[in-house]
Amino acid sequence: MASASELDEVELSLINCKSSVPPADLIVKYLKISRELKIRDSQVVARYGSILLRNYKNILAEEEKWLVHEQVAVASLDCGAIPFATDLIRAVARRFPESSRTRRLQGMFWEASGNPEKAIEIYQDVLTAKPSDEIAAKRLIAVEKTRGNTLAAAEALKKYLDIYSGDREAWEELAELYLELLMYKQALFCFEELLMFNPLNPQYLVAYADVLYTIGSFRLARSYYSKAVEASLGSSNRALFGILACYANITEKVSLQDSKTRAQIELPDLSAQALIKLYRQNAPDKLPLLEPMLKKLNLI
Amino acid sequence: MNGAPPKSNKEPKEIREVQAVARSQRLRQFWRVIPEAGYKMRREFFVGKDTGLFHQKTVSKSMQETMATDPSVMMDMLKKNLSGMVPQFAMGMVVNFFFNGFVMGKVPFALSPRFKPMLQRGIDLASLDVSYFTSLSYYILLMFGLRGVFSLVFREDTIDDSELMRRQMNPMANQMTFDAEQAFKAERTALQTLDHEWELDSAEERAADVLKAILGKTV
Repeated sequence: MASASELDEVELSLINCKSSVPPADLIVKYLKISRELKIRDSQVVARYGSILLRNYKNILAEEEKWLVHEQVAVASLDCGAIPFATDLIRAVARRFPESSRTRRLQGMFWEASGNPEKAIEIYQDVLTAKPSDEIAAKRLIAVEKTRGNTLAAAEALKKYLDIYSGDREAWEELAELYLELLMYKQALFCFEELLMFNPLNPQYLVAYADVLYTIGSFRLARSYYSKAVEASLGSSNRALFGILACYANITEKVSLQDSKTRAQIELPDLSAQALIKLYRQNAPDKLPLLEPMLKKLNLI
Repeated sequence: MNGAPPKSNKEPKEIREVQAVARSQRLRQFWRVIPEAGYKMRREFFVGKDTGLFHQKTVSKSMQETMATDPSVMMDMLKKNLSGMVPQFAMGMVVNFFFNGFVMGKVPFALSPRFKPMLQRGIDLASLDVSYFTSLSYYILLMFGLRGVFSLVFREDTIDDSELMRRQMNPMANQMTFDAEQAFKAERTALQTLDHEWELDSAEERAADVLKAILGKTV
């Protein structure tokens, strides 16, 4: 399995090539690694992919040739190079007229050309022919999103997740949609699902705590920010800021009763000092922005 | 030689069941991280009295049912197993027919007598040196040894070790179809016995400890 650093290496050697037409195997390697890592760097892929397909058409084996077609077509649609993508998609359609992958490409073409109704038609066709095609289902949701019907997109994504409840990225997307719609309780549910995928992921913990903070559950938010601090070994500055924010909003005095309350009393000071240390290490020029805020909270 | 895994044409309903069981397993694994309300909601969803997911009838059939009702599944399995082996078999028989009773060559190093039956199929000479081998045993040795070279030569995409291993293990793994009935039952009992305990009760203490540890180092 290739790594991202390998991809960067190949990209660098492509850029540093003397002539304007780099060697074919370098491009092939770059495209292959991109496919494996599912990295969507559309401009680079489109540029080098188009060079490959124009100049070195016969080098590729049959299977890889069409994989590259698909990859470069999607990249060109991303960059808005619609005419070039049209040629590629036409070639794919000639070779694989009955395939659902071809139809998906055609649907994406219509999406990129600004004709969502045609795209929806195509995707629904694909789904009636092959009900288990999850990529077509997801593209339908994407079309709704581009049209601005966020609520409809969220509804459709909810139905999708009823079936494919193991699709982590779909849960992330749904959480984002709910946040856009200001439906915080539902967003909390999605974040809980994400936490069950990966309970020690500081990003998820902080995001969950953020939503809790937004709806006003400061104590609960503080617990999750604390967990994020623990999971990130104190390096997540968002979690530290979160603790301070909760401290600013919890106005009741806590008396020193047991280890739990002692921790609650100590935590704001510790967070403030940890933040200062982090800033000193990583962004010392921003320290003057941090200190006035901490002074206001009476922490330094 | 090594075929690709068969395409699974599962209905969305079946996919739903598989993934729901996976989700329930995740819930049971990490339930401590979610607040009580979230956990109770999900438990209700899965094992609630009448509407719970795991109380519903399953759509996926178990392995025996599919074997009985769908003869094509059997045919697929047989075809896959045999189509790899038949050409090898045929070649082996041709080699045996043509080169029976001949000594093919000599291994450059001396071997212990235990290798005799392995390297000298078809020749019953007890006094023949163990270093000499016959055609059939040579053929089998080469076939297994050069599998890697064959895949390099005859296939376009490079296969490194992980893929080779995956292909070798795949024929076994695909025999297990998902038995929804059993999985549902297992999840039902497992979920009903779990009560809730929130891990984050002591979160602040642990965070304070972590921060103290970090800060203590520089002071």
